[in-house]
Amino acid sequence: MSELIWKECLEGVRRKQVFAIGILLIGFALLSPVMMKALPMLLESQTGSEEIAAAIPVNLRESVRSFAKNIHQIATLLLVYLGAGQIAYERNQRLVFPIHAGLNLRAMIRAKVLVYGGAIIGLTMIATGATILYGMLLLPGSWKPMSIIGWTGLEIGIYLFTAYLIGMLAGSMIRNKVLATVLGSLFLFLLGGIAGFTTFEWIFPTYLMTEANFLIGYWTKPLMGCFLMTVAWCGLMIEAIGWKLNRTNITMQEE
Amino acid sequence: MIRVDGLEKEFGSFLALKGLNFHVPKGRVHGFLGHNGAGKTTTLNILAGFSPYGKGSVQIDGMEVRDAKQAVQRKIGYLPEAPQFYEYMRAKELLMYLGRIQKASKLDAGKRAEELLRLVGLESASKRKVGGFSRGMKQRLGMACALVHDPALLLLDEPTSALDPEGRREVLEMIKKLKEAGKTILISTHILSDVERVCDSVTMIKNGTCILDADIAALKEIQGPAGYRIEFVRAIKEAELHDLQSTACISELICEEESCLVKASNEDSEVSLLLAKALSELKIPFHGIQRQERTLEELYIRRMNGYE
Repeated sequence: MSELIWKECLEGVRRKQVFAIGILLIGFALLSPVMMKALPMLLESQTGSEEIAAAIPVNLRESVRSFAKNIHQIATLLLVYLGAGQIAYERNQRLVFPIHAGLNLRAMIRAKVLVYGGAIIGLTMIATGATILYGMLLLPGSWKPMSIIGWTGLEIGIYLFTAYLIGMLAGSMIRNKVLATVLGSLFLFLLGGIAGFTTFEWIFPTYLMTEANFLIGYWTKPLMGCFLMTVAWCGLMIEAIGWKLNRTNITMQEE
Repeated sequence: MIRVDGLEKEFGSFLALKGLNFHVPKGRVHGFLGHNGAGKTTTLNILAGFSPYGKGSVQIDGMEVRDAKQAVQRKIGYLPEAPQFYEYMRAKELLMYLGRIQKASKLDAGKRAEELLRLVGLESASKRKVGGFSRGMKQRLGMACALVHDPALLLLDEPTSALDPEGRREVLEMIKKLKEAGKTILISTHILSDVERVCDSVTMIKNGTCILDADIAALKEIQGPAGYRIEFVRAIKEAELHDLQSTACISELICEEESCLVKASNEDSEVSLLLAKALSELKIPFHGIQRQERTLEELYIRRMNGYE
């Protein structure tokens, strides 16, 4: 397993995928408080109305909400693409030599999950910390930031990790990575829609983003249920990706 | 080592392999020939355990591929026509990674990587990233990757097609060395002179079926006496040569516009003289008559065009 983890780390660094995730998340983290601070001035200059500008709440809480919203919309899409792209890259004939050397495809998927899952969750927590701390410098409002950083960061991080896994799953089923990204993203957003109409919203991973918007610094019963369900979903997806790849002709080039 | 019986493979409604049969004994270098789309790569992918198949049996070292895929794959080294690599890795890193997958220690994997890089002539490029390699270098590296786990059977899909003449000669020498080391090698290629240089036996396929499966040495004997190529001064119609065919020494005549290939019925040294005399009598102007030894290329073209 150590050689597989080494390979994934090398790939993440040399193909600059880990940097891309980091720049994306930290970029949003630092931009959110700045945008929040500048929003009333922008609105005033555009509309010429002080009332409209004054009606927009400008505080740390709203800044963190804005960060979570942006991440939900854009980072989700990019992480689905990352997952789909990674599987497309592997199945595009690159597994021929490793498989004959004895590679276990399930072990390879687990190594990817460990390395990228760790990077996604870790970087999201850092980004959440960065947006809160930077927001405290720029905006009014203060809470006990450590618990918020911990819980909100973890909720967003696990949700993004699920998005990455859905991308991988779509990539293992569809050879074209762009099509896999589109279908993976649609599935994820559809899941969010369905979750909103049920009384068991907490069984879906999308509930993590709903909780993240509340900015609560402690655990609740539905949140813990959602964590456990998401872990179960992720485990199932990891197995499904390995199962599907084992039945895929990996000698075919990407269309 | 390889036994393929009645192999069929479908892609939707298209039957790519139609009851293919051939076998390759242990320690042999076997050529696998056929035109584009004949089913060569499909067959190699099935042998390598990457593509499922319908009817028929495919055995590697006595094991049915569909029943013991992983055990079969460990016995095989497969070099695809255009091998793909992790471009961000250096050549030695890649070979060490493959070595480490099969549970070799870091030290052993490093030694094996150096040994293989020396074998394929890439030791000076061991620290270069694979993404910057030329196609020929990638082909050599692919050969090294296929050999990492010391497989008993090597499947090579067009191994010399991307190489310059020197590179081609080196790869053919490498194949000879591997044969001496006891490996069984199946080469799919279009370069018939390569097959003649290194192969012991050959299988020709056309439209998914085997049209020839024989030893190279036996083939030349089966083909009988050599042929003669007549170069005409102008383009000649087949009808004009009708009377020439009645000449006693000709068993077959194949016309190709300004030349024709005459298959002699015996090895008589007088054949060219008899042909020259007959052409003069028919008043057909010609530049010359050249004796042609039997080549695999000739046999290939004849078989593929349905002359035999």
